[in-house]
Amino acid sequence: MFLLALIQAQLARNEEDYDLLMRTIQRDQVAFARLYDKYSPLIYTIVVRMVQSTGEAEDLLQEIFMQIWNKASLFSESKGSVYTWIVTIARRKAIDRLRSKDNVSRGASLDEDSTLAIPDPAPKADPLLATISAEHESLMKSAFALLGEDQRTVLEMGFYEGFTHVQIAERLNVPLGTVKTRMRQGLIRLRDHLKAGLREDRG
Amino acid sequence: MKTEDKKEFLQLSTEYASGSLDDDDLRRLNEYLKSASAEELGEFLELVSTASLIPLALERTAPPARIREELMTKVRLSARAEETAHRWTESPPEPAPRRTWLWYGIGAVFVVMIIAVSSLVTHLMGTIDTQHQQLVELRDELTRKEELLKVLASRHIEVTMMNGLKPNPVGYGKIIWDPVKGTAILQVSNLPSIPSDKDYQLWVIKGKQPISAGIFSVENTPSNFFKIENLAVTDPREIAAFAITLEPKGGVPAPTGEMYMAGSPKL
Repeated sequence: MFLLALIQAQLARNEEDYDLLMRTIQRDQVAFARLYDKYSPLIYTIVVRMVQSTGEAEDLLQEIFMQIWNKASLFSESKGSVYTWIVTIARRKAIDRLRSKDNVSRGASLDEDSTLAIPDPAPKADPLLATISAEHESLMKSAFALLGEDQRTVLEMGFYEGFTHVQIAERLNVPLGTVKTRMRQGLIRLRDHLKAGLREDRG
Repeated sequence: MKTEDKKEFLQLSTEYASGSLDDDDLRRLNEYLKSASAEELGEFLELVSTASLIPLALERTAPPARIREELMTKVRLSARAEETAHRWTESPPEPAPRRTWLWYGIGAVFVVMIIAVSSLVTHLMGTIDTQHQQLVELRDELTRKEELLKVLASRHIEVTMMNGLKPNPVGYGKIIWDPVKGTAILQVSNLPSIPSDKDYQLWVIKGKQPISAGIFSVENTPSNFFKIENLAVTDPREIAAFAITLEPKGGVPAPTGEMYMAGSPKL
């Protein structure tokens, strides 16, 4: 099966992040610094995009990595990769900041404390990535460019602004069903593009 | 999972992955996940992973270098605090300071007690000294009274009254004397207090010759008694008078000062 094969193929590449995080749990400051060096440009970029302020983004970046330092032991392999876990924390923190600023309730998903009832044992590691690589970046950029404007807009409103489908529908003044369809189709298109790209590379 | 359920599950997974699920939908997704197959879980994770890669489409900007420095400083401080807390948990050295404080407390109580006891002892010593002094004075007074009583108890006593003279007319006194033993009691009343460089002096006048019988000073009391040992003249017929003069401190061989009191024996 493609999914399981891909998981197996990428496990080795996921080891580095996993190792850094495990060493962070053991209070290894060098490992934590390496994790920061690796992920801070991406996390900073996400946060700047979300809060639209470099000052706030700098503040949030420190909060996010302090949370990683303090709560590394909460990471569970069964619920995603280290990358996904870190991005989830960043998004949640930024959404909380946006919520406190504009008093608008936003989506409750992607809780960094992993309240989802994913049973153990679950598939180890994310199926589409183990660690971020230039390859992933290139694939995602090309995938995003392939999306229609409508799909890209709803994905960005959900991902970067934390709005629910209902809120997106209200803001775009389109039916809720339309938002859901655009969201689902956009995400599936991204997934398929990534899958195809990764399959080609390993083919 | 039934077809309808799977459709909703995938829809909820999409919404979750894109970060736009509300709380009610999150609960429903949770219910589906509890009974999801490995394949369904894989699909869910695929969507979540895909969504998490969305930021890779952004052009990256590196954060300022100082953020790293500040963060690592916080991490170092946090690690140090954890280490200290861990050490305290592992081998609790905490009781020691508590014991130290306990000893300090006990020491402080002892110091206060010692000060209090010292103060009490000092006070008691003062009281004892005062009472001892009073006791000595009472014994002296008792001895004196006993000696006076011995004079009074003699078979042969003579009494000579004395009156106040010009410097102090209100004064008066008497001499009770035993001519056999040559002892006497002098009692004086209303004599004024005198300067510290002065003494009263008693004279026995034999014929016209004054003979000193001793010096004395008076307390600030209505009357004073003095015992006189070895009265120079024992034959009453030889005594012309008794007199008291005010003289320089320690007395003089012959009277020089004013006469305050005088009296003659009644023969």
